[in-house]
Amino acid sequence: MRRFGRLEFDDKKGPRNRYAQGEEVRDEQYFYDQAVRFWLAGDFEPALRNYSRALEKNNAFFPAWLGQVLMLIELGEYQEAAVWSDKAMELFPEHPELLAAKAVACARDGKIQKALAYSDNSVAKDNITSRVWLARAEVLLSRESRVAESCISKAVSIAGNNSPVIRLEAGRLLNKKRSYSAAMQYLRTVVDELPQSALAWYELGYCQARLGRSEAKVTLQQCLDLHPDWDLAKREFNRLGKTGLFGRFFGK
Amino acid sequence: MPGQTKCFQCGSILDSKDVTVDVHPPRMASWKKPFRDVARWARRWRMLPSGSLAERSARRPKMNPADYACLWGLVLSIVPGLAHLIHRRFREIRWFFLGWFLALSIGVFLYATNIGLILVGLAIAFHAWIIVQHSLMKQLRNFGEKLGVLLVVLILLVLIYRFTPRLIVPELTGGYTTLNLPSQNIQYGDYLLAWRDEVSEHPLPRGSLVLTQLVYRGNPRRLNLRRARRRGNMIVQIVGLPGEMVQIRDNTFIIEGQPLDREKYPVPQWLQESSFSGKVPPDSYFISSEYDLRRGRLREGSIRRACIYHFDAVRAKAFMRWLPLSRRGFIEEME
Repeated sequence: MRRFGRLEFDDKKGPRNRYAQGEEVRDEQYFYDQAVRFWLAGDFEPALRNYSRALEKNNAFFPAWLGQVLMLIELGEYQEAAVWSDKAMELFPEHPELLAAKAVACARDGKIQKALAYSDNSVAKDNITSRVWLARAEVLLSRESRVAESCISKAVSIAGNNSPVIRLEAGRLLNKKRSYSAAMQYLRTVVDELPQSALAWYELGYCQARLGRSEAKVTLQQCLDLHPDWDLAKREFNRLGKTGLFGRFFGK
Repeated sequence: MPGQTKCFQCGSILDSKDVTVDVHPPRMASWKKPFRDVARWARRWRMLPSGSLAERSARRPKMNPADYACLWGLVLSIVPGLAHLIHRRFREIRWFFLGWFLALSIGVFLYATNIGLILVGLAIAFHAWIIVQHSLMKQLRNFGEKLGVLLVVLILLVLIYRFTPRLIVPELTGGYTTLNLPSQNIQYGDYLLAWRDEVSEHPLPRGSLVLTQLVYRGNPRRLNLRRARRRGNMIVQIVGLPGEMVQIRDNTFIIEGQPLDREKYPVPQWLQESSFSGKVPPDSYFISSEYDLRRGRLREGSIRRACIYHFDAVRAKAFMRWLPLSRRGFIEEME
């Protein structure tokens, strides 16, 4: 099953056969779609809640377990994310994506040795996915390894139908590691494919702002149009006007 | 395994329908965030180890010959530079050794001053660095561990420096005086050095400057007196010997009817304009020391209690003016 195949924004694309007549069925897939929608809008807290509700419907629904762990990481709760990935592994033992998520949690928490061990473990499994390679890239970037970029390329190349989301994640990762030019290459295509994702617009705008590009204002405005109450985007937008001579000169 | 809901080996859930699974993740309390941020920052800069305590202790290797050599180096370095000298590595720490030597020498010379204290502290720091530089710093890789070991070594050295002088020269001590003795070139607030073993045989000669704990018998409030200096042992002057008749009249000490030289035996400020007459018990001295009079008139009983001290209260005999530096020198005997 395509993980993001059922995602729908207002562009009315995608299958709608689940609720051809009447109200949509509120099953795990419904809450999962809601969660992904919130995530793509940069609302991590409601996304986490919806992942939990999806699991309330079906506790064997793996994407929701992974989504919970990823949202905990997004919210900066790395120890809780590690605990929760362990919990998920009781149902899905040694799942490479859970191991990879745990590696990311450890890497962001500054536990690089642990992160590397989990990442090694996840890469050693069969049928590894794009997320595993992305996690590998993040761990390696924490160690300033040059192999990280090839891991990102690998992740994007095997993404298949999840390509926009994986490219968004790749762009975010590169943004975080201040490789703004490389990040922009991914993010430019992402906003074309996920035009309703405030998160994608924000990441692109952030990237452009750091590179001193004038189009950053338009991009961030686009993000705020989609998600007007997003403080992070507002802050970045307000910062644009305040860039001094030094900042403009050095593209910071 | 038919009928099993969990794997008996790894605890994995085999049939989730039969097991109640909590699907709500744990959340971080908001107050923890700043602490975790600091810990994360410290881990990134390798000030804190990245693993848990149990994992680190499991990973820690057993003692090997290099560790024993490291410990031996530690023990030898209690004498600064000895381990380096034996291993022909003295060149590595020669400037630290010089720094230690100079800081300690000047610190001892200025002992009992603030600068002296700072210099001795500096010498301890040099010594600690010499110790850890020998092999510990090479053995430890983690910044946090290095810092921890350095702190432990520093604390141990402080204890060693604090108590070694008592082991090497146990008889040496010192104290401040509140007396003004023009004949001995001693003024209020001077620091005098004293030897403990010189008070083994009593009675001491008149005029001796001795270190006492200055504890008056009885309630100080009732005595109407207060110590001129709040803390520490005090240097006082022996005026009356055991069995002698001591009188104070016209700002002069009179012993057995003979007035003493005011230059050598000045009457302290608090006893001036007072009169006293009394016999010193056979196992005590009449001593002269400065007190602060609280209020009102001084009673004869108060003088007796504040000035007559048993032999046991005398701890040491002063032999040298130590501070201030301008008046440093040996004290001459009076009689």
